[in-house]
Amino acid sequence: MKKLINQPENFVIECLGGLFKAHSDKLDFTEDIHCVVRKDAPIGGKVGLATGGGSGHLPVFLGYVGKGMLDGCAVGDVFASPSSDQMLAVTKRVNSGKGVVYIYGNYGGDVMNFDMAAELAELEDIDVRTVLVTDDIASAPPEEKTRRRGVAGMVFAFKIAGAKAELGGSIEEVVGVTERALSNIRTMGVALSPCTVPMVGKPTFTINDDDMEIGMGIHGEPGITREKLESSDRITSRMMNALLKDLGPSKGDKLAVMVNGLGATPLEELYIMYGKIFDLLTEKDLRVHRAYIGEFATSMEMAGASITLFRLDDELTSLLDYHAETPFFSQY
Amino acid sequence: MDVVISGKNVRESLIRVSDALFENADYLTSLDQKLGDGDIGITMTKIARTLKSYVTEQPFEDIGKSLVELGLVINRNAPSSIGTLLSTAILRAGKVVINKKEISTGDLAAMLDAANNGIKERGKSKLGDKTIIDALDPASKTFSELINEGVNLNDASMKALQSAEDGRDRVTGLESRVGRASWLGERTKGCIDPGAEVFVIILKSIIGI
Repeated sequence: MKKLINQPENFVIECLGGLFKAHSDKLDFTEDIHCVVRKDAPIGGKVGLATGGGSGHLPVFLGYVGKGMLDGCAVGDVFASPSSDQMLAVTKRVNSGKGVVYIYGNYGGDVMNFDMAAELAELEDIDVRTVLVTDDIASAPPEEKTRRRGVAGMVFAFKIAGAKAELGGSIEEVVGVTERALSNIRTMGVALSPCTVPMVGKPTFTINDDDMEIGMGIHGEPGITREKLESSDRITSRMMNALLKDLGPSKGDKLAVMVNGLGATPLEELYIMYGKIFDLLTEKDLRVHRAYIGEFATSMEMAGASITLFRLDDELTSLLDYHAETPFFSQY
Repeated sequence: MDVVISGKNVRESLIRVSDALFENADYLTSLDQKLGDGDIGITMTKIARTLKSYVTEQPFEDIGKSLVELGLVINRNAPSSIGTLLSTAILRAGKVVINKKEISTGDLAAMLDAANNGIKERGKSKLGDKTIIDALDPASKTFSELINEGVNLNDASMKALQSAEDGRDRVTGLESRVGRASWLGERTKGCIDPGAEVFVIILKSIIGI
């Protein structure tokens, strides 16, 4: 393991310590440093939005806490769920009285703890709703969509929900539009090299130098196929075929596209991929409304990338275009 | 005949549960090391400690309210998967008897049923997945049936315990289907499920044997 760290067991706490020192103008925490909230939370009259999950994916999850996006986030250990108690602390802090919506990725530990937190919050008369992100098409076939894991597409869900809540939407409206957004979001990834969880000290999986794994999960969950690495154009085309087949857009549809680096893949390579994505979409008479290229949901130093397609209608377009400002994501 | 159970009875049984969990922590860890990450003993020790300190401080005048609070405290002190499942069970069992100073055998059956449903819902597991449910679900069903038929508390409890043990043993030969253990597939065959064993230990100590 070759990492710029101190004691591995302090990895998360020291990361959070640095984060609060850097962004004390925007972020705050409850009594527990793992419970990150907007400095101005709760925002009066606004539905609260909360997420949570394991560390190791920055900017996911806490990076989207800020104006126009989320109000709070419970942070777990690397690749491990935060506790329901921490999620409850976030929930109480971000609730202005209009209720709280949980938006997070579909992973067993997270679901159990968020459901528990929701039950505890209800005992305190807080209205809690849940929207699960299940955008990773490689993790289960379309007929078992509810089993799919949540990956980079959750950033679009945060963006849409955040704008709707900021504009004064009710809890039902926020849940409804976020679910509609997610039904139009699909993601697929490719991994070229593994990452190492600091406390474990060895890579999460092994892969030959000249191999790639298409569809691999962000914690090293098995993908669809492992084979010899191909050219960027070839990999991109294969992923785009699978995504377009699953999403089923019609000619003339308007999309937002995200090309997300998993941690160790340079921006240059992401732009090479985007060039091909744009050409493939244009060939099919599909329009790109906005392109997001960079690191949005990572897996520490894993090499590889994911592509997310988001089909837009008029309301989703205006919510996506709405301004947002967090320490990791700004759009004006 | 309807036996009435007092807050004092509930406290005493919880202290027995606490003692049993302390005693069995290492044994449970040895089961978990074959299937999971081997942390169940740590969780059970945390729960046992929480039980003892909470039960000592609380009068259990309102049995339901005290159990709901106990569930919350356990959740805070033992936030692993099995900790969350057990705190859910206690919380749900407590909700059934809110405002009651005494509970009947019928209440006990309803509490067991609520705990069973709570764990199923929270853990998204079903019979045959090789979890705590495989011991809890048959025990709950046996107990409810016998109490409905008018069987006395002692006999109904012993039969429920037998159902729990049978349920635990029935899945030992199967593969674990949920949680970390499910990743090991075939290798879990023949291993006793630590969650099912925990329930047997808890039920035994509630009964007082």
